[in-house]
Amino acid sequence: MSTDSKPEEMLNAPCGSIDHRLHRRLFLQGSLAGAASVASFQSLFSVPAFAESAKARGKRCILLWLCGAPSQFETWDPKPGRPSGGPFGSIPTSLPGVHLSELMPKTASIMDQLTLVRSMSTEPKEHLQAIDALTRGEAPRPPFTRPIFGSVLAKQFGQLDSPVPQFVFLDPCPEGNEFKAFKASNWAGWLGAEYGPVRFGGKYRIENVDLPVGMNPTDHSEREALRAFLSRKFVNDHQNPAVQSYNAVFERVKGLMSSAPLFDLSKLPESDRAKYGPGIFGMHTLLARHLIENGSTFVMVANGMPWDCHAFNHETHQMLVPEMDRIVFHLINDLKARGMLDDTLVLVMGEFGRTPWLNEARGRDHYPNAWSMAMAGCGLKPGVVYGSTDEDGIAVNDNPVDQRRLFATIYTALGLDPHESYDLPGFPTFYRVEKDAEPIAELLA
Amino acid sequence: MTIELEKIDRYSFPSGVLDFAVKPDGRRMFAACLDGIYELPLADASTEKAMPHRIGRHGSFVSSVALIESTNKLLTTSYDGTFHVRDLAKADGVSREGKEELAPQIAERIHNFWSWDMALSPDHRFVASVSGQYLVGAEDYTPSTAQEPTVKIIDAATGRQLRAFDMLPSVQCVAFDISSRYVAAGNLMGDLAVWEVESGRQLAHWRTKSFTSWGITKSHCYIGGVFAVSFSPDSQSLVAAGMGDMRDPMAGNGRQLWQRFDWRKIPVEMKQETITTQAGEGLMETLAWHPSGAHFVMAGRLRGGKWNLGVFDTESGQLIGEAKTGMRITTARYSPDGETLYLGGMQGQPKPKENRFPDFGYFERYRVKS
Amino acid sequence: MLGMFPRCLLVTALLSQFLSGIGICQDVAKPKEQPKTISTAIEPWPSLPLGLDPAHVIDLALEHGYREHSVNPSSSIDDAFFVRRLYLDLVGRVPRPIEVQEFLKQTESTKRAALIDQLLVSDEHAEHLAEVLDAILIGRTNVDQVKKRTDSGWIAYLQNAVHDNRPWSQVAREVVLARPTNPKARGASWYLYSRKDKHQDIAEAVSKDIFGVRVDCAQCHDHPLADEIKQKHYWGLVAFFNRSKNVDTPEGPRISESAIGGFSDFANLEGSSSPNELIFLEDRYVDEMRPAKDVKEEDRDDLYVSVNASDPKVPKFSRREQFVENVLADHPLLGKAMVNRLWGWMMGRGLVHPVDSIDSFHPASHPQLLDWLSRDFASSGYDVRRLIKSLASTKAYQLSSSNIGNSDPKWFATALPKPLTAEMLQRSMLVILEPLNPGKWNAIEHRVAFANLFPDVLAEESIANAAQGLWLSNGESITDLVSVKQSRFLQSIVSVTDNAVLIERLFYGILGRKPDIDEISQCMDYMAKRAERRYAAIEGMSWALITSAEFRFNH
Repeated sequence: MSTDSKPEEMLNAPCGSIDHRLHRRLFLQGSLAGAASVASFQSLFSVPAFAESAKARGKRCILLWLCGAPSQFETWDPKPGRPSGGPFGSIPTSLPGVHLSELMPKTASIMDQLTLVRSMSTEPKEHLQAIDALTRGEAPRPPFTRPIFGSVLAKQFGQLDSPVPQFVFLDPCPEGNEFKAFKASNWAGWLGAEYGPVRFGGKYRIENVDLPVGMNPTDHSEREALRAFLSRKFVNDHQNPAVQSYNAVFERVKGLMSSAPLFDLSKLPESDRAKYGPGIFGMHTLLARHLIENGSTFVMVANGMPWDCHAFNHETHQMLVPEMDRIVFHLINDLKARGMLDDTLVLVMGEFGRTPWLNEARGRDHYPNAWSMAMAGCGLKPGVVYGSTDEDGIAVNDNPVDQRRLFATIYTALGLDPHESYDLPGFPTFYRVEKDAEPIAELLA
Repeated sequence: MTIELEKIDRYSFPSGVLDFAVKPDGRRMFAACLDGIYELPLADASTEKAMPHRIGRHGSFVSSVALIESTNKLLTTSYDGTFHVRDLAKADGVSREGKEELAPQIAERIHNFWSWDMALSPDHRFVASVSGQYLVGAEDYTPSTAQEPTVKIIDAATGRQLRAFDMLPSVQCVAFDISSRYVAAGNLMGDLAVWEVESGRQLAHWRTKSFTSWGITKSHCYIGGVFAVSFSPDSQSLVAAGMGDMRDPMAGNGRQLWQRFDWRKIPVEMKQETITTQAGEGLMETLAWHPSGAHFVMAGRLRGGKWNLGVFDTESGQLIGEAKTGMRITTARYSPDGETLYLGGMQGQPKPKENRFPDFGYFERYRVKS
Repeated sequence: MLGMFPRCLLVTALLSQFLSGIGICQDVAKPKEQPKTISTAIEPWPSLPLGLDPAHVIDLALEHGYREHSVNPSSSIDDAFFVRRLYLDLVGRVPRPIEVQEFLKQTESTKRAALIDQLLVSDEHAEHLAEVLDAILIGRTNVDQVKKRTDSGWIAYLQNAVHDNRPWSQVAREVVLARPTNPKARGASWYLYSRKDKHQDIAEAVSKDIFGVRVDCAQCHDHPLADEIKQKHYWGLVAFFNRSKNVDTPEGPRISESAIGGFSDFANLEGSSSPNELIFLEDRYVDEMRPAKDVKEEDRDDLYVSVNASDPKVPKFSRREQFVENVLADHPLLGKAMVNRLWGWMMGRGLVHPVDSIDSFHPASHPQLLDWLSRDFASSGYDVRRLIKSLASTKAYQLSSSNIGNSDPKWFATALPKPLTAEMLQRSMLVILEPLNPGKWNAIEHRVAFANLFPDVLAEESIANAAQGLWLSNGESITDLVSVKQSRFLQSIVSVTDNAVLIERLFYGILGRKPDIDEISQCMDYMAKRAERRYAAIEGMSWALITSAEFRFNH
């Protein structure tokens, strides 16, 4: 903890206890350091070492968020011919002995570049709780809102002054109650609203990106600088996520105005659009690749909630899986061709798996007990399949992976210490990943 | 008139029953199940209930089965895209539990994707099988057109392809009329078409928007569509079944719905549909006309409401009989004399008990009383 | 016995007796886990009688919480803060400078209470609270639907209800029954009518709006996280409404009800099915003969109260009427939901948060207080105005929102900054800047677009987004609003030649306070740089103030 002198008048805020002054000091330290988080009353944690982020700078991540939760049987862990296996067969892949669902021929051909976990075993059974766990790493523990890992990466790798938004959330299909509830929650948590996502919905166009008529860029910036100055005291005095997020959006305005053309997919080659499209999930994935190429740190592409197949599981997966297969294939290939796969992590996952048994509506229900997720790129060992399930896919055979071990692995692959603590006297100590969960060595390059 | 259905008995199968065929004498049935083709002797008052036994398999779910009594051939299609013919002369009394399964005489790959449904023409000359994988074709996830024809007519005796028609995937149901002259099919998007088998001419093609939902609540994709078609006994009209628009596409809660079309009118006219107050919710998957032509059955799943099998008066469209069977019905068929109604289907698949998945497919017989 | 103590002491004594009774008295270091059941399972504050001043009970209960959790409440706000906060909460806009001055110059010790009373009986309060209730009860929508809400009489109905301070129990009853008996109540039908005969939508709305409970999750199975919410409650609530049907009558939209039908089974995911009996939360149940399996019900005139063909049908056995008589009436959640919502409105978060999740998965921060307030609210005849007044009179409401200290917001040790709703933001901007063309802002298209850009009303957590930032920075309307050409307020100060005075007038006009030294010097610099472009300087400063977080929030 630094003992630098701070403007005394700020320290004389009318709150008496030592604790309060201490918090206040840390807060000021943070805000003066520039890179610190000042987001909410929960935000007064020490800032993870700057050196670490410098070391790791340049890492990027694309998360293909298969919201609603896909069936592992129709994707990564087929069980053909078993009572749980469903109607689809399996096919060999470029990795000897490893089979994927026959719905994924393209991805099968680059299996040697993927890192697959077939022994995911987690707890939450409902979407909202599971999405929280699988994007934040931990069940919520109000009022300490843990940031989703996109915010962690935006903070560690991103540059706040970058005109390109560091954390972009693409939301091609914004409906779906549970996902909506998650989206309405505080994503950046204790890191502060400036590390929250810039969100885009179904349409690509961004409105109000032109200067007001008759205003020059200098006036526009200076006006904003004045706004920021006049808001500073109020914002400092109100450590509240709503206030912080309101203030933070203005910091994005200039960057968004200059980077708006990046969001215009019509400027990308027709051949690219043909590869990823025409579905909106593919188009947004293409946009994600484009944003990552142009300086974004973390792009999350949500896929609505179509995977939540409580009815017509097979009838829906016949369409969704081939689309995903094509998207994953092209994304990995494109990143590789551009030499970007080495420092770009690609994650393909939902919040849990689906039941080995079919319900009466031809659907598969939620199943966190044994499911799969796939990754590729940055810091991971390619061509590894970790863990397995029994012959019917009911239970994990070996090496169960919960979300903590998964996050420990992801952070380590990206060069971040999973056990970094957010520490403050009188508060519970939080870790980037809780319970000393260890990264999975077999998956790391 | 009201129709009463009195349950005679129920048989269970290891996995779900997607289709079945009963011999005209009612003494034996063959089931298309998720895990293979089963044979089951049917009991009468004097015999004991038998157990079904598997007589053959495909590479995936067996979706349809048909029987040619005169030549003793069993025809099946599957989600593996193949068409099989087995000679039952070799099966009767031979294949019992533990005995060898029966190899197909003919095994033709007729589609690159599932055979969703197959129908045998009443004159036993033709088999129609429908296929088509729903792949994204536009930003809003309307299906892309298929690489190969999705409706195929093949020679029932040889498996040779005779005709092929294009229809937007996925084509989910198919039926011949009683004269074996016409064949009709329905798809995911609510498209319906009628062709003349002999000439291969398309006689009618129309779309009903009543069966297909677009997943605004949770997803950008289409779901539902037409799951059964059936010609009226006079061949003049075509009935389509499925479920109505779903509030939440993942809840499977559309209205239990049939619509009856005068397919010879230009443009095609919708004449009748389920009377709203008489229907509950749930997917309807099968239609069967009573041999008298006076009424027909629509059956499927009860998701909400009072029945999952409704009997409807041909003339008025009124519900005149109903049953709640405690299973999702995939196929309903009448005996030739119209006195017995057969139902096949399944419940939700139970979790394994003692390392074994309990049975969840069923076949039921009902006495039809009017 | 009761008469022997001064009132305040009595309450304190009773409270401490109660608090020690449940084992969270000060000696116990760790707070106990909140019991995970709906509170009615416990006998709530058995020894604390009704008839006490709710504001006082709230103060004592929150202070107890501060001590228990070692948090220091922030200081109380002065009159200038209070007047802004109260105007925003009660009439939905910032006070005009003259209203502020009026209040500040009063010297009576009861002036805050007097202002609360004054605002609560104003027409503006009725208009504002009706807007809030509309957004909660039916939600944000498009231009067409907004017009229909007005044409149907719904908005006027809500305004009258607030204006006449009608008991909430009656209002809830009227909107759920949707059988208006007098012209003033004709708009009440729109609550159900707007759901377009979608009975599940109706059930989900009634549960959330009237009972403060979300049952959506129980559609396909019993609620996975809150065991007291069963699938039968979901379908039971649907059944109370599934004989209803929208009809258009000369008097406007109405809801008819059939005397037969609506018997159905609901299936769970395993495939077993159960009959949809008339039952809702707490297993409140209405007996009804189910027709035998094979009996076909017959719809006959003698099953109805009125056979006048032009009237919406009213059956003699009406499920909606049964619902309001036997389920809704005096249901503990009826009062509790409203208390929690109004607490949330005034305090920035509910005692149960989010406000419409009163279930065992979301325990209240102060469960006994919420119970007591709910019983108090019921015994007051569901007097909404009294409840709002009580909340506004508490110490907690009048605390500073500056939270330099850290404490969990659920202890209410500092006031929470509340984002203005779209309507409040717009009205406040217009009150201050006095545009020459307010018609443009008040046009329905503009209002609806604005409401959809800032849709939150009592959100669990209100997180701003980039679209809002871009609109506030570059939108045509806002540029127009802060232009000297359009703003009467700016026109009134452009002639002030002393820049320091001008800056002070701007701050006072927009934020209701004086600038501090740093702010003056920063603004002076900003103006000096634009000495040749005085209008641009004034417009830039106005924009900076009107888009500041300080303006955007009620603090």
